[in-house]
Amino acid sequence: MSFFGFDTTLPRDRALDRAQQSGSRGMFDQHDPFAGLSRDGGDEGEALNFDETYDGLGRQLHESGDTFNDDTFGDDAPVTRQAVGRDFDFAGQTARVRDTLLEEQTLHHARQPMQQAQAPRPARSGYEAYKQPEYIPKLEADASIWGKPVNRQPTAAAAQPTTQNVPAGRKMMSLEEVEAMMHAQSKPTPPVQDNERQSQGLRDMLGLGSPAMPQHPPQEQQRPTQILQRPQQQQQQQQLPIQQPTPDHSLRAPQILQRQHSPQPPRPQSQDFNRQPPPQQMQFQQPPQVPMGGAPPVQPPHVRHQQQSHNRGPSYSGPPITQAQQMMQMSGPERDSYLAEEAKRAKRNHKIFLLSKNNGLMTPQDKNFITRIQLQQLLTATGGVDNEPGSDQQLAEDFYYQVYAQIRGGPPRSGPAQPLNQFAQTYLFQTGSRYGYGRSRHHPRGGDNHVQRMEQQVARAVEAAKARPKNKHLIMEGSLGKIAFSNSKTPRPLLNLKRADSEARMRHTPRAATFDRKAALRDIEKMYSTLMRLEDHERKLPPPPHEDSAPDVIEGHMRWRSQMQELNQQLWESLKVMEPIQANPTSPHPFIQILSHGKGKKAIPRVFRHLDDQQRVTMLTLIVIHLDILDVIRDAYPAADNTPLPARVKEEVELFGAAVMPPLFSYVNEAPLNIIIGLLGLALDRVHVQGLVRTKVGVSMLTMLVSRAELVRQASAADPTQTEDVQQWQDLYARLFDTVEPVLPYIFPTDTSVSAADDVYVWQFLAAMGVGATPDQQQRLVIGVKDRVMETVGVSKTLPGEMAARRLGDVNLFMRAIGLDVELLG
Amino acid sequence: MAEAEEPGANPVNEPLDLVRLSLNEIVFIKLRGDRELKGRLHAYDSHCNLVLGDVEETVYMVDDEEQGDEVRTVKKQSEMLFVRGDSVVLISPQQ
Repeated sequence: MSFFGFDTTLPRDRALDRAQQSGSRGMFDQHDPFAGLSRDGGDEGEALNFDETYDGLGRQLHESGDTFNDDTFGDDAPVTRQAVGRDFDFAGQTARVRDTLLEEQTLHHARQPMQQAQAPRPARSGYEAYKQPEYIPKLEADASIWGKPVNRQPTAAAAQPTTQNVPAGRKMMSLEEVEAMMHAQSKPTPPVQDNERQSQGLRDMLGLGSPAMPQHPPQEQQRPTQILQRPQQQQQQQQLPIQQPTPDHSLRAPQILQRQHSPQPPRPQSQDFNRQPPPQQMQFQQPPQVPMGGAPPVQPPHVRHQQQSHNRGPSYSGPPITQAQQMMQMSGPERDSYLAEEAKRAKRNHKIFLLSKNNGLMTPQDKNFITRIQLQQLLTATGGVDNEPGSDQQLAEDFYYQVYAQIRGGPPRSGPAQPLNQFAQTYLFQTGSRYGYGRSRHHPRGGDNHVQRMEQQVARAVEAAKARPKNKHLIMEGSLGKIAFSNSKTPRPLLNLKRADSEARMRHTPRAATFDRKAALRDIEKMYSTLMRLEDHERKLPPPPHEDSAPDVIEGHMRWRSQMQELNQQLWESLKVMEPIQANPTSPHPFIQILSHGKGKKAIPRVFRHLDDQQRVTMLTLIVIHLDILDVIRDAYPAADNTPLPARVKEEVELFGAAVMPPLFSYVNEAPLNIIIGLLGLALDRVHVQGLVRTKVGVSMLTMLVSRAELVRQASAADPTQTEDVQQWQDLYARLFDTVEPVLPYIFPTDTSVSAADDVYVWQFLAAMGVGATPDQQQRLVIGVKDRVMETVGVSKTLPGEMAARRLGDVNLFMRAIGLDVELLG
Repeated sequence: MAEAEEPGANPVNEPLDLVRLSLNEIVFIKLRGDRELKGRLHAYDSHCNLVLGDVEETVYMVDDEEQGDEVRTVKKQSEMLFVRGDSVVLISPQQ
């Protein structure tokens, strides 16, 4: 049966049905118009009989929508124009009143002021210019503004298309008048625009707005919008008289691309370039005219400013070339320079094109967004804006730069980082406020909230991860045992060890040599960590208290000072200078071992700053006593066969000279004579001086002591209280002299030839000795080194100028000290 | 070089402290991928990222069933290297 329950079977089928079935069809048995076909076995070959298949449903349909057919389609009469009526013939109607309309139009335009005359007129596409027979591209019309030669032709060309538009003739003329005025004014002012051009060109490249032009703020606003936003220009243009209509737009876009092509021959390039700015210039022209129709004479200079300033600052100043004839008219060098200019410009534009191929992927808002987040993170990472430079948070962020800036004594601002923070703050504030205002209606979340939102997301993710039940072990069915998960904080435990420190400590294995080295390295590291703590603490120096400053300030200072002393003590201990000196040590003194490593040497200058005088002299004494054992001396004895020292040793020697000697020297220069005497006495007693002087370091040390002693002696020559010391010094000097004299010839470095030798330290030593020498001693000095002196003088004659002068100067150090001069030798 | 157990003037807290002792010294590094480095250790961190100076890198390569130990080595020199820590197998002072 049918869905609605009425009987859908055909009458004959009903009869058959009743005959064949019990009659239960169910809902799904729709009436099948062809149901009876298969039953009629006898009708197989025959065509369908319509009457048998027709179900009569069509007759049951009652159409109701035909009532207005006659009205719609007309009566039975044939459809003619008259019968249908002509109410819809709008064009025809308009054609009848056209004349009236035109009259009204002209009257209206005549009455209105000129700017309103540029309202869009119907039925004029922008392409009319093209259809005109004498069509000359309007593009060149304004090129003439750039320079003198092309005056008449573009204006003539421009004049022609314009005059052909009858109703708008007056407005076109006004445009042409403006152009003419601009041409007239173009001549005197090309140089003014160069700078403008260049700066404007650069600004255009950077996509920034233009700077403030004092004359016309409205133009300013429009200029950036014109430069940067083409769609707006489109709108503005279409409102305006369609002399420079959409063809310019369509031409402009491909030309802008053309401009950035690979360099083309200069001439077509020049055409392109000049085709380029004119459309833009024309756009500049029109908007200014719209608001300031009443002041056309004032506009042209500024409009031209804008137009010409769009050029990318060519250094070829002068009228740009728009046509080939201009090229011919120029002289040879001018042409060359112009061509060179064009080539440079083409290259530069090609580079710009390559660089900017993928520009524009991010909107400025996107870029601002990212910048804001970065700046905010910078600020929060350094603990916010409130930190003074050198605060812990800032140091934690970027230690080395902060300290470096502090050492260099940054600019007189409050600190190197502070102004950056201020910049960041200002930027954030400005962009934030702008951002907030612009988007607050649509996005009630402000700028700051971006970072907060990100943090919230992270926090939510962490929470979710925590909340998820995370099994420490994974147990798969059928496996035997658990699979443990590990991360960085809880690595997979592979071994189960118990610390056995107590037993380990009791062992003293007799591995002396390696043991010492390890211990020395340990000492060095301990010293470095103490040193760094000390320097950190020093950085926290509180402001010096005065008499009447607050008690807690004084207390803070006191605390700082006591902490400083404690650290100083620790540092001193870590240096191991006070370790007892053993008579026959199996291994070097710990401090000397420290000095045997490069990193130990490097630490000495830093350490020295924090030591007091007593500690310094102790260190110096220790060094002097162990001069023989210092690696820079022990390993630096020249080889018997004059081979050069190994590079490692040379490095260490240099390092010693650069790192350790200067602080010692600075101390010695202020030391009293008795200390010097004591030190030198120790050296002579305990150190093998004759071996010592064959090394650079040894000689330098001796020079240091001797020169200081001589200085003091001369300074105190008049002072009677010092005579005892002076006498002592004299004796010591004599002893030193006698010790050194036999080895004088061997004092010079032998690993390289005379010409390449770096022997200035020897001459310094000799000079120091010579100053304090008696005439007899001086004689002996000269005899000792005479050969070398002659050799050096001879060699310096063959050397190039500067080197020769230097060598002679070195020798002269000694010669002058004993009252001679190299020039005496010829 | 002596092993880790020393009488406790300067206790070593963790294994990386031993690396600390080798700062500015010539060290020998073995890396994954049959490579070795020898250079001056300038910096390290807890991941064993290393900064080495004046490095000589040795790459050991096997040529299809050749017998013998140092089959083929390729040596490279660099003035300064940054080594990512996850490929460091061992750090040792110079032999």
